[in-house]
Amino acid sequence: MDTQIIPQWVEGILNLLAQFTGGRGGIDHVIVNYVIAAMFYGALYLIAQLRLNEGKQTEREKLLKLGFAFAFGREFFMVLMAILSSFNVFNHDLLHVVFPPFEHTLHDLGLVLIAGAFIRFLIKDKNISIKFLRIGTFLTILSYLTTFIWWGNFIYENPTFKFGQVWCDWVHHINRCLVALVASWVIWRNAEGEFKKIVALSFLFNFIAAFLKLPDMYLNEEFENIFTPISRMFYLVSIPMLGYVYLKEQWNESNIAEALLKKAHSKLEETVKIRTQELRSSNEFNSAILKNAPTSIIILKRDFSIAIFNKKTEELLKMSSDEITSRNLSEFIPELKELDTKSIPTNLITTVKNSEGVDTPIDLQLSVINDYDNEFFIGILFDLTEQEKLDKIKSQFMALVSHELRTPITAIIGALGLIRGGAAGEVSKDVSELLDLTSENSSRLSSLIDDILDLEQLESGNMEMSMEPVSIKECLETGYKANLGYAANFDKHLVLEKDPSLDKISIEVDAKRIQQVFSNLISNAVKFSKDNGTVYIRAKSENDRIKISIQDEGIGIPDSELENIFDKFKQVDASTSRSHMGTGLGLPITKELVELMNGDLVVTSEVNKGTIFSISFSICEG
Amino acid sequence: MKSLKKIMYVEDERGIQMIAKMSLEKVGGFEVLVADNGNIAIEKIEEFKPDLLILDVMMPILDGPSTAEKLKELGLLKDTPFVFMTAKLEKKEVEELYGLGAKMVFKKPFDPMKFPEQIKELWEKLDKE
Repeated sequence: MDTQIIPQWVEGILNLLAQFTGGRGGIDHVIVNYVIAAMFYGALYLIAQLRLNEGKQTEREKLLKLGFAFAFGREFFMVLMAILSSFNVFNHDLLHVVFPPFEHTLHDLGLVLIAGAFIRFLIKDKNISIKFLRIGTFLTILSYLTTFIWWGNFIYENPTFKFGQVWCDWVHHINRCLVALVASWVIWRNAEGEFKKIVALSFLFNFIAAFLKLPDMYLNEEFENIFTPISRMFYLVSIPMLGYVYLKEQWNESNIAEALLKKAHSKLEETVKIRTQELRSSNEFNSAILKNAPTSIIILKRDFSIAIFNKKTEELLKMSSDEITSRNLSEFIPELKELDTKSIPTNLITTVKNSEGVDTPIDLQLSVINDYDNEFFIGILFDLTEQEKLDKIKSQFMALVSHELRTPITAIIGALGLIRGGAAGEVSKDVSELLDLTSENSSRLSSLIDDILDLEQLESGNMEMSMEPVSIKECLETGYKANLGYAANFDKHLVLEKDPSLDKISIEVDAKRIQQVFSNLISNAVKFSKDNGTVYIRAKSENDRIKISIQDEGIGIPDSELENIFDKFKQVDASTSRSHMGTGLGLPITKELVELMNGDLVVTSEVNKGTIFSISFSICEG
Repeated sequence: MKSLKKIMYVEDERGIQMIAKMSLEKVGGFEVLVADNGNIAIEKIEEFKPDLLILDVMMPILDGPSTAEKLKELGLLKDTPFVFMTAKLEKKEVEELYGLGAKMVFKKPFDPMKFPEQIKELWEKLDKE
C-alpha cells in the first residue's frame, strides 16, 4: 500500500501545475484552455458592458453582453472545476455526472446569443436573427431538459454505473455543431460587408471544434488525445476572431462618428463662411443703398454737424466729399440754427444754399436714429425744384383752364342777361321763364368754376391774402347790401343787427375775401331757410374778438352730419347740396378762407330750428 | 372832365365783343368801337379818340397789358383812362394790372345789364378825383 508521502494539498498544487504543462492530469484537463477562453470572454464582456454604459443601448449589445456572460461563465466554471478536481475535492465521475448539463447549457446558450447578435449586426433583415435566436435557444433548452430527464432515470435505475457524460456530450456537441454551422452558413449567405467572411469563418471554426469532439465519445483515448487539442485550437481561435470584429467595428463606428463630426464641423465652417459673406454683402448692400439713394441723405450729430452723407448730397451742395466732411448742415440751411432739436422728428420746407450760393428748394425731413443713444439724426433733403416746376405748370394750366372756361360762360351769361333785360326786345312769359332757368344754371356753373379755382389755390397754398384793417361797419354793410337782392330773389328777409358801438372797431382781413365769406354763408342761410324766413347777420364783441354770426330759420343740420359739412369731397357728392343749387364747395372754401385770415368758423345747429355759422376775428390794435 | 360818350373795347372773342357792345350801346347809350386785338386798337385809337379804353387781358398777338404799355409809350393814353376785363382773378395778376395804371379791373363773366352802370359809377369817381 502506498504511503501517502506527499500531503494532499501539495499533490493538488502539482496536479494544477500539471494542467498547464499537459503533464500529470492528461491533456483532457488542460486548464490553460479554459483560462484563455475565460480571459477572452471576460474581456469581451467588459467591453460590452462599457459600451452599454456609454449609452449604446442597442438590442445587439445587450445580446452580446449576455452571450459573453454565458460563455465566460462556462469557461470560468470549467477553470473552477479543474482546480477543484485537481485537489480531489470532487470525485471525477461525480463531477462528470452532476455538472455537464449545467456547463453545456451555459456554453451553448452563449454560442446561440453571440451568433444571434452577430447575425443581427451583419444582416439587415432583423427577422433572421430573431428566428435564429428563438430556434437556437429553444433547441438548446429543450435538448438539456430532455437530457436531465433520461439522465436522472438512468442513474436511478443503475446506481453503480459509471455514467460519464456520454449522452450529455452528444446532445451538447451536436447542438453546438448545428448552431455554429447554421450561424456560419446564414452569415455566409446573407451578410454583407468586410466582416462577413471572418465572422462566418469564426462560427465555422466553432462548428469544427464541436464536430471534432463527436468522435471523442466512442473513439479510444489515443484518438481523443489527437482530436481534442485540434478541437480546442479551433475553439480558442474562433473567440479572438469574433473579438477582433467586435472591436474593429467599434473602432470603425468611432471613426464614422469622428468623420461625421468632422463633416459637421466643416459644414459649420462653410456656413460661417457663407454667413460672413452675407453679412459683408449686406453691409455692402446697405452702403450701396445709401450711396445710390435718389435723394440726399445725411446722418447728423446732435449739433447738425455732418457725419455721413451720400452722393446726392454732394450733387445738391455742389461740393466734393472732402469739402462736406466736418461741415455743419446749418451752414447750408440757416433755419436749422433756430430749430429746437426736441421738435425732431420734423419736416421743413426750406431752401439749401449750395457752394455757388444758389438756393435750392427742399423738403427737409429730420428724424432721430433711435439706436446709438439718440446721438444721431437722419436728414433727408428732398429736392423740390422739379416739384416747383410742376406746380408752376399746374397753376399755368389752371389759369388757362379758368380763362377758357370763363370766356364761353361770359358770353352765355352776358347774352342771357341782355335778353332778360330786354336789350334785345320784348320776350314772352314762357321764354322769360326758360331764360331765368338758363341764367340761373349758367351762374351756378360760373360759381363752380370760381370755387374750383379757389380750392385749387387753397390746396396748393397759392391763395394769397392782402390783409388790411377793415371797419366792422364797412365790412357788414357791404356784405349786407351785396346779398340783399339775393335774399329777395328767394323771398327771404335779411336783417343786419349790429351794435353801433362796434362801428369804429376794425378787424384785419382781406376785404374782398371777407365778402366772399359773407356771400357764401348768407347764400347758404338763404337757401336753407324756410319760406319767407329771415336770415340774421349779427355782430358782437367777445373778449378781444369780434364775432359775426349768420343765423337762419331753416331745416338745421343733424349732429351726425355736422362734422362733415366742411368736407370737400363729401359735400360735392351730397344730394342736399345739389337739390339746393349749390356747388357744395362753398363751406370748405369759406372755412379755409376764414382760417387763412386768422379767424375761426364755428357752426351750431338745431334740426328744424336753424343753423348759426359764427366767424370771429381778433380786433385790430389802434 | 368831359362826360363819357365814346368807349373803345379791345377784345378778341367775338361773342363777348357782341355782348359788351350791345350792353354799352343799348343799355348804357355809349358809342362803342370794338378792336379785335391790341394792334388794331393802336391803329384806330387816334382816329376814334375814345373817352375810355376797355381792354381784355388775354389776347393773341398783343395782349391787354402789352397794348396798354405800348399805347402809353406812344403817348396815346395821356387823356384816356383805361380799365381791364379779365377772367383771371388771381391776386397777383390783378395787382399787376392796377400797377400798369388801370382804373378798374372788371371781372368776367359780367352782367351786361349792370355793366354800363358800373362804368358810369367809375367815371363819376374818376371825375371827382
